[in-house]
This record gives sequence, C-alpha cells and structure tokens, in this order.
Amino acid sequence: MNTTPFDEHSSQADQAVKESERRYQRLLASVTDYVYLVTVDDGRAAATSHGPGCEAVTGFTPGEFEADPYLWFRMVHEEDRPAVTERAERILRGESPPPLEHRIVRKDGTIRWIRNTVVPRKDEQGRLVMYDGLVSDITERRRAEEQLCDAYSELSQRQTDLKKTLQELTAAHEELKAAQLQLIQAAKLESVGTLAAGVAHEVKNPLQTIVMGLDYLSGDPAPPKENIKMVLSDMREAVARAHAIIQELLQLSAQRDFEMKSEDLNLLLCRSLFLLQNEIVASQTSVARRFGAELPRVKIDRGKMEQVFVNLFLNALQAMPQGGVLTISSRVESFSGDLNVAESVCLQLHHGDPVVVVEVRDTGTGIAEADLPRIFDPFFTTKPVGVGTGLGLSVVKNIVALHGGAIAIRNAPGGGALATVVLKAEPEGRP
Amino acid sequence: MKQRVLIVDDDESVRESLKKVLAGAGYEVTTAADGQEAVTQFVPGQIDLVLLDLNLPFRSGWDVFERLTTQHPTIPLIIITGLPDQYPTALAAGAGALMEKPIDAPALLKTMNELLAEPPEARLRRMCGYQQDTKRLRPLEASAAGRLHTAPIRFRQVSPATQGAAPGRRR
Repeated sequence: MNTTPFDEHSSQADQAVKESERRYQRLLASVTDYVYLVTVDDGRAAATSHGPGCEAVTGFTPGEFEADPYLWFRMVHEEDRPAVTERAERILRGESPPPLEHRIVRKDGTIRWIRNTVVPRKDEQGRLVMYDGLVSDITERRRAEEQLCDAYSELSQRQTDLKKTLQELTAAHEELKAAQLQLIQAAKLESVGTLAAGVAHEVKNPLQTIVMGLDYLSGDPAPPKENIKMVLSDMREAVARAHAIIQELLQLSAQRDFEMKSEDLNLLLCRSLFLLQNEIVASQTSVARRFGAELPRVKIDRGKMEQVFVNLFLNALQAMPQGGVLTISSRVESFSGDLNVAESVCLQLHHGDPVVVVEVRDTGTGIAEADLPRIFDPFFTTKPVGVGTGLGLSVVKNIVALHGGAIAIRNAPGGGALATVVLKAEPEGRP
Repeated sequence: MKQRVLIVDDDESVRESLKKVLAGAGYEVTTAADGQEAVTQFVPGQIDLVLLDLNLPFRSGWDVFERLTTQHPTIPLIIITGLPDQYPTALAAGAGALMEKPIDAPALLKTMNELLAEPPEARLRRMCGYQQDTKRLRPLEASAAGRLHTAPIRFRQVSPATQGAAPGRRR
C-alpha cells in the first residue's frame, strides 16, 4: 500500500506523542514528591487540590482527588488513620505539628510510606485560611530503615550468641586445660611406674651400705678408729644418695600446674638421666653426653620438661633391649627450617630465634616408616597390649607445644631413632 | 686357711661395706665392679664363694651367673639384688641363695657358712636340676613359662635385713 504525505505526517506526530508519553511515564516513575493545597473555611477543610505528581505516588490523578473529597482519607492505611485524623485536627486548630510519617494504600493496592509536611497560611487576623502540604514517598527509606533495624537486631542477636559461645568456649578451654593436665599426669605416672623398680634398686644400694656399716660399727671387737670415720662418711653419703633419688622421683611425680622458671637444660638432662641409672645399667647401654657449653637458659616447667626427657630416654632404652649407645646432645643455634621440626606446630618460634636444641639418639632398630606419621597420636603404641598406653609421646608433644617449642622424631641416617626438641632460649643477660 | 670370696657389685660403697664386714669376719675378699671384671677375677680354685649382683654394666649379672654355674657348677653362689621380683625365684635356686638388699651382716654370714658347709654333691644336684630348665628360665622369658611355678627345685630366699632382723635390733 502506498503512503501519502499526510499519512507520513500523521505517523511522525504519533511517534512524537508516543515519545512524549514515554518521557512523561519515566518522569512520573521517578517522581517521589507532590504538593497539595487545602482551603480552609471556618475551621473546616473546604477543598483540596493535588499537584500533578500525586499520581506517581498514590496512583490517583488530581482529577480523582478533586472528584472525591474524602479520597485522601480513605487512602490512608487503616492503622494510621487515627494519627492522621488527630494531626488534621491540630492543623485546623491553628497548630503547626511536625511532619507525620504514615502508610497509604495506592490505587493498585500496594502500600507506600509517605512523609507529610504541612505549612499553614494565615490571613492578617491570624486565622488559618489554607495550608500547603508536601507529600514525599519515603517507602525506600523506610524499607532501608527496616532492613537496617532487622540487621541491627540480627547483629545484636549474633553478638549475644557470640558472647554465649565465647563463655562456652572459655569453659571448654578450662575443662580441656584440666583434662590436659590430667593426661600429662597419667602419662607421667606411667613413666614413674616404669621407673619405680629401678629407683627402688637405686635406693636399696645405699640402704645396703648403711646396714653393712651399722653391722660393721657395732662389731665386736670394735673396728679401728680410722675405719669408723671412713664407714660413717660412706653411710652419710649413702643417705644423701637415697635422698637425692627419692627427691627426684617425687619431683617428677608431683602434680602441679604449669610453673615456668628459668632453668639450665643440661642440668635438667642430668637429673632425668639420674632417674634412669638402673635401666641404663640393666640394658647394658652406654650414655654419650654431648652437652653444649654455656647453653643459654630456657624458661620451662622443670617437672614437665623432665617428664619429656625421661620419656624420650625410656623410649630409646626400650628400643635397645640388647644394649647400645644413647647419645644426648644439647646446643644453641638460630631457629631455621634445617631443624626439620616443621611438621610440629611451632607458631611461637620464628626464623632466626635463638633456640636450645636437644637431640636424643639411640642405636636401636629405628621406627617403621609406616608408624612414623602416627607416633605422636594418642594411644598409638607399638608395644604389646598392657605394656604401653600409647600416651607417652602424645603427651611429650603436648608439653613441648605448651612451652612454645617444637619436637620431631625420625630415623637417624646411620640407623636408630633421633628425637629433636627445640626450645626458645631466654634472651642473654636475664637470669 | 682363709676362705676366699668374690664380691660382684657395680656400687662401690656396697662393695666396700661388704668387703669390710667379710674381712672382719675372717674372709679373704676380692671385688669386681662389672660383669667383665667378675669373669676375669674368677680364677677357679682361688675363689670359694661368689656374691653376685645381677644388675651390672658391660656383661650382665645373668651372663656371669650362667657362665659360672655352667663352668663351675659346684661354686657356692649367692645372688644379691635390690629387685628380687624381676628374677624368678627358680633362678636363685640354681644359685645357693638369693638375698634381697639390704642384707644384714649376721644373715649374710649365716647363709655363707651354710653354703660353704654344704657337700659339693648337694650343690651339683641342685645345679643339675636347675640347668635342665636353664634355657627356659631366662629372666625375660620367665613370666611366659608357666611351668616355672611347678619346677621341683629346692631353693631358699633370704629376706632383706629389715624383715629378718630381730625386734631388738630395730628402733
């Protein structure tokens, strides 16, 4: 079909109208405010006239408001009507109440929040003749406020939950700490049990000296004077020896909380060895002490750390039932990855920190490769049922970790097992 | 002629105190501080009795015990130990006696006299009864060998000084 110039013109006009319509709709959609005017006559609202933006906010046209004088009131959400009525009365009485926020039900049935601000106009006598109103759609703001409010209450609920969780965690931590101390004590008593027979033997030798000394001194005829002095000195020395070893055992078995003190680690190693004297002789083991000279002191709990070394020494001796060499070395160095204790959690040790390193090496058969990853697991044991509980090494690792140190056990290149304990050295110049 | 005793104990003060008492009682005393020394010091025909501690360095007391009783089954031998429970009682039966430390002088001298007075045939008989079971009586295996308790061997175990002492001697 052919088109005429008229058709063309009409079509262009149509397009312009459509474009204008679209612009209007876009503008309308973005309008959130409108004004209205209420004429007052004799203290009563006589007429209302709503500005063009009202349709965007309420869905009703100015014409609809004009045709229906009570439309504005019916538009107010039922629950908010008393507040709106009360305010309208105040305005008509000549007051200037603050803006009111309330809900309206739009023509399409949806609910919007608006803020209604009123500015009264008065005549020369001060009588109210009309008032201007500004209605702002605040739905988005209210929604944001509500969301904020919800978020806040959720946050405070979470805070309460967190506080409760924190309390529970603190309680659990305390329980765990107590359980850990109990576990340490249980493992220690196992070692003490193993040591008890040996210690008894070590005590019986001095007793033997004392009994023989008494028999000798009370002999008839009386022994020569110079011998009496010598025997008494031997007896005194025997008492001191028995006392020392019992003290050492008591010190080891005592149950205490952690008490960190500055200690000489070489001395501690000697004391731990002292308790094992009988086991060392019985297993035909020789001990090589390679203690570093002028070792810095370490801050440790003496009893707990003695437990660590007694345990490592006992393990080494048990790995050499036919005898062998137990080598114990100590030295100071800077902490580095070369120490191969990376697998041990050592968050408190940093590269370059001065550390005291103790190595305990035996000449036994070493540890089966398959067992190596599990040796620190609680209740893991290669000993027959009833012989070991498998607590020893897990507690050893625990104690070292509680000191902020690190431990690793592996097979030594030349055979046998090698345990490495790394402890932070105390800064120089501090006692 | 004086009777000759070999004392084997790794504890010097134990060796010396025993030596003084035994010398005072008229014995000739030789001492050894470890298993190796014990084997060296034991010259057949020059030792009449051995006092042997079982917990020794270098060569265990058990090795010394086995060697002595195998090569010289009639030698009177007294085991002196702080840990009698670690060794089966039957083990001591191969020896003349097992005495638990601390041992007092009168009890030790009495046991030594009894053993020395025993006819060598009696010692041999005891030793043979013991040696039949030797291989099964190693200390480590002992607990597993159920027959230990029924072994028909005569033995004696002398209590430590504190248990055997007369009431008047203790304060």
